[in-house]
Amino acid sequence: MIVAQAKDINEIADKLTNYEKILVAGCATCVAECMAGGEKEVAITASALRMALRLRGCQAQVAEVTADRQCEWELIEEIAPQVEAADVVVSLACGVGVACMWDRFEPKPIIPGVNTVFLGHREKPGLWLERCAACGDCTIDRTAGICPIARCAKSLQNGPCGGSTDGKCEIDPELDCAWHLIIERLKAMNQLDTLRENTPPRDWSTSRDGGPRRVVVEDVEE
Amino acid sequence: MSVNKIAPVGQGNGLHLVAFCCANSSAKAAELSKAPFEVDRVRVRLAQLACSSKIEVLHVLRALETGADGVALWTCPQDSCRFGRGCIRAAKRIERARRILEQIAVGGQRVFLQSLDPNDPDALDKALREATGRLVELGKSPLKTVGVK
Repeated sequence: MIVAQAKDINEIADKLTNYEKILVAGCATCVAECMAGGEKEVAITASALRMALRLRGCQAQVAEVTADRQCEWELIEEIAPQVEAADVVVSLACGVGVACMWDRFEPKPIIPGVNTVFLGHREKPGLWLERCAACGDCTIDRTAGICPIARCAKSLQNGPCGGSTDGKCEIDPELDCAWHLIIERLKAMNQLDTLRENTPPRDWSTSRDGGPRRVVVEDVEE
Repeated sequence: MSVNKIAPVGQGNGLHLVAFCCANSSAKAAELSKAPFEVDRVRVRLAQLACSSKIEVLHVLRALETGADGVALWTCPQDSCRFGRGCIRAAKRIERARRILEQIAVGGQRVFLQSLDPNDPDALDKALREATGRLVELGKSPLKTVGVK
């Protein structure tokens, strides 16, 4: 899922001082799962903003709404009346949601209330970890399900780099060395020999280097 | 101070404390949660929680947003929490609420967290007096003293 993190309330409040009707809009999918932008975070953000704006001498109304998703036109439409009634929207959705809200409600200002951080999963309560870099050419089977693009600090295709110590990365002693994990897993599977084959240089045009990407599913495209 | 010296709501000094108390940490919490009262002229509204971990960040923020000058949470000591980690979870939520209140300059010091000694029948009374005393020192919430454009 997409993982996001709350912004400092002051960073948001500073952009709102000239508005009277503010809507804090949450998204009940990925950002709700990572506790950055669901209904509960909308209520917390709205309450904090009301106080922060009052302390700035602003008399603004801060309303709250949460869409099932802000990245689907049909579901955005369900919150359209609240958005239309507001002067400005603070979106707690990921960057995709904020962009879609801009496309739908232009020229209404939509201010991001969270930072979209990575594609990952919940390792345990309160901890989310990056697991995919969306590089557009998945070969994770070669590395036993551990993506070296997302999890190696240097995104090495043929690792390890030699900088790791006791299975930890040289950039952060708390960070597992991805290549240490790959080797240990392949060893346990008795498939360490698969690493004898050199992985050729990657074609990064499928990733961000190829510019903004698009996916077409022809049989449903209209 | 005993519960008998807790006064009914009167003129007060304009300070309001919203307090949350784990139902397992004090037998007096049930009695005191029936109606607002005053301690040292500070108006107190106390609510019982089934476990202190039921506290939400939003409870703390909303209390301050809607007129409280301070918020208190009283938990069981860590080694006697009936739900094992309830008071630890509660402390983390209070810490997050304090961080937000610091960010927006309301002040995290307006949120009091304390565990009650289960062997001390006056523990809640002492905690009440301590919290109201701290609140008197801090004075009114900045939200009450700010001018609006």
